[in-house]
Formats: sequence, C-alpha cells, structure tokens
Amino acid sequence: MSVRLKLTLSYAGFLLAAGGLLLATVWVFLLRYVPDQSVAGPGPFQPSRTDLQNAFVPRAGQAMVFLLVVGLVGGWFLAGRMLSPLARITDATRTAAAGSLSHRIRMEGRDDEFRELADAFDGMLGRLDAHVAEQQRFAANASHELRTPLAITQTLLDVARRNPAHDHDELLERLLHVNTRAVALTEALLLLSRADRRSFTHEPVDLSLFAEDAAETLLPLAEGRGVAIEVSGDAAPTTGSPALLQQLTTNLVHNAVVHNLPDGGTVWVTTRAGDEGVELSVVNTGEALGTSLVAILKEPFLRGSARTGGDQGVGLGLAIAESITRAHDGALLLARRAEGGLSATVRLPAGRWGR
Amino acid sequence: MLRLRALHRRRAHHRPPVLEVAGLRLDPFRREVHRDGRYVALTRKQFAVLEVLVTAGGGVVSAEELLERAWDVNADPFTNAVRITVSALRKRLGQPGIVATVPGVGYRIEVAAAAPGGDAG
Repeated sequence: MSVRLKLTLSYAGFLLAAGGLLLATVWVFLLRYVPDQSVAGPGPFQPSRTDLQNAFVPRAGQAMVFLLVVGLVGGWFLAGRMLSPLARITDATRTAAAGSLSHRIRMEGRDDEFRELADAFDGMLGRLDAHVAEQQRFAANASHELRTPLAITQTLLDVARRNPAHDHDELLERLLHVNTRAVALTEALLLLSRADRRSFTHEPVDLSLFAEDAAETLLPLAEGRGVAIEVSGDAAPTTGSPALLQQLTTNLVHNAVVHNLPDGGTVWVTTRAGDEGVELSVVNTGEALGTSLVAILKEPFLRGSARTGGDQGVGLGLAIAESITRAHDGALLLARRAEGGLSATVRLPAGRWGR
Repeated sequence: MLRLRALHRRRAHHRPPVLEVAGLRLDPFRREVHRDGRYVALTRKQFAVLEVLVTAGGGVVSAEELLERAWDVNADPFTNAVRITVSALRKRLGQPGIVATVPGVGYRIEVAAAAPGGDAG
C-alpha cells in the first residue's frame, strides 16, 4: 500500500469518524429525549421520535456518503501534493545511485521538512562529488607518477639489451636510483592511505622531540645545501601516532630545506603549547611565492615551482602532512612570507597527559 | 653451527649494563634516561651523545670523537651537528646543567654536583 493511499484512507477515515461523532451527539443529547408517542393535542403538530428519525436518518446517511467521497478525493489530492517533493528526492537518489553525482534537487518553495531534507541531500551529493573527483584525480596522478619510473626502467633495459657492450655499472646505478624513487613514492602513497583511514594508535607524544629529531635527520641534507636549521620552543604534548607525527614533522622540515634559498637559507622550527592545543611551526626563507600557488601547495603531486636539483621528493610531502594533520583532528596552515619563503603551522589538540 | 647458535643465544641475552652517574640513569638496552627519577625523552642522536659522555665517566670527549661515535666515521667534519645536538640535549636534561663545555677541547659530564655556570658555552 503506498503512502499516498494510506494518507487518503486516513483522511477519509477521520472525516467519517468526525461525522459519526456529530450524529451520535445528536442522538444521545437530542433525539433520545423526544417522546415516541405522538401527542395529539390542540396545539400545533408535534413530531414523535420516529417521525424525526425517519426524516433525519436518510439525510444523515447522504451526508456521510458525501463526507466519504470528499475525504477520499480530497485526501488523494492533498496527499499527492504533500508527497510530491518526496518523489523529486527519490528521483535524485536514483540518479545518484546510477552514478551521476552532478545532479542536484534544488528544491524551491517554503522552508519545511522536505526542503530541509532536499538541501541536506544536495549538500551530501556535493561533498560526495568533490570527494570522488579528488580521488579520481589522485588515482590518475598516482598512476602517472608510478608509470614514470617504470617507463624509465623499461627504456634503460631496452637500451642495455640492444647494446650488450654498454656500461653495466652505470646501468645498475641508474636502475637503482629509479627504483629507489619508485619505492619512496609507493611508501608515500601507502602512508597517505593509512593516515586517511585513521588506522593508527593514539599515544602521548611530544612534538618538540619530533622537531629535534627531524632537524637531526635532515641536518646533513641542509648543510649540503647551505641551509641552517634552528629548533626552539617548549614541550608540545599531544596524542597521536608517533610514526605519523614524526613523518609529518620530517616532511615539513624537508620541504622547508629543499625549497629554500640556493645558499645561506634558514629553517626555523618552533613548538608551542597553549590552552587550545599545541602548535608546530616550520618557517623557511626562500623565493617569494604567489598567493595562488600557496593555496594549492597541499595538492598531491605538485612541486612548488620548477626548481633545479633532482631530488625534490615525490610531490606528496605536503599532501601527506595535510592528511596526517587531519587524521589527528588538527589543522595545517600554509602562508607565504612577505620576505620570501613559506610558513607552515600545524595545530593539534593538546594531549591529555600530565607533564 | 651449534656453537654459533649458542653464541647467538648468549648475545641475545646479553644486556649492556645500566649506567649511572651524577643523578643520571641511562639504560642502553631500553634506550631510557632518567634524571633524579624523572624520565627524560631524548632523540636518537641526543641519546647517543649522552651515552658516549656517560661512558667516558666525566672524562672530556672531543667534538670529533662524538661525531665519529654518535654519528658515523664518514660524517662531514665541518657539520654543526654536535653543537646543535649538545645544546638540545642540555635543554632536555634541564637544570642544573650537567653537560659541560671544555673550551677548545670538547664536552664532559659534571660528575660532581653541577657547578654554577658549568653548562655555559
């Protein structure tokens, strides 16, 4: 039984019940008290109860039939009108289920429950649409990036086969280099999906320790590029995955070292703890960045600008940092420095562990 | 083969001794440091530097030696790594300062109670 039919029957049923109640009232409070014998008297004609019944009951029956018809027809019409937005929402759901996420209901009219549902549904479709588009773009980029080292390997092997007198040491060296890059990329992709799935344990950690660790690890790279790393600040206790948060810190510092001035650059790593949470900021000197570029730096596979030097990473550093921060209910803010370079700030909830 | 296994087993059970000096308790096996009973979280290099200094038992260790033992023999001799790590280590260990600089020579642990200004430099 459709909801429309149910509603129609309910309307008609209510009308009949109301009519019946009125008739019952007439019977109980009026007709019952009229004497049943005709009083033949000198006065004007006084109808007996039977007379009244004979006159009233057929009319009452007609009125009830009228009410039933009005209830059924009016109910059917009203229910149809009330339920029409639902049909639109159902259509939209079917369209979405068939794979088209670009369709929107865009319900107009008054602000009622259906409008609210339709708006919520539109919002959900919008988010799904954006998410799927992001996933597709990511998958396309990832495949493209993974194909590059494989294609280079293929070319190297082809050349070596056609030319057996080729220098094998050099070939091995280049294959090793390409392979290392492919492994790094795959590991980065795995890390990204691990952070996105939030499949990690929460442990008490101190961001300042990670900052110092990242500086230690990256100091040889930084000194090789003439970049100084300065770590300062207080303990920054929070909770999260030590491995992921270490990766986050290392990514930010690595990014700051690699995208720096050609010589004499500086990276400042600072940790802070406040009432609202803890903060890690990584600020570096460097070339002036455009506002539009800073806005898209967190996109996967995008490297700041075309720069010299081969080892710029796999282009996932800030995307991973963003993912890890989000998985820890924090925020990663990127801002260009007026003097050139970038300022990256991670804000995380304060840890619930005593100091 | 059996002898190798026995050797391996003995190695596996061999734990380096816990080192204690001047209120510092350093457990190389668990990689833990306590100072006056308080746990001190350290990075890998900070721990390695402290371990070398504590093992020297108050003797002076030169920056070059620290670099060789806590980093590796091929480390860039002009690196600031030792200076940076020692300064971070001092901050982590807290007051009173326990890692002293011997100007022009190197670093050492203050075995006696830390003298005021002992961590200068």
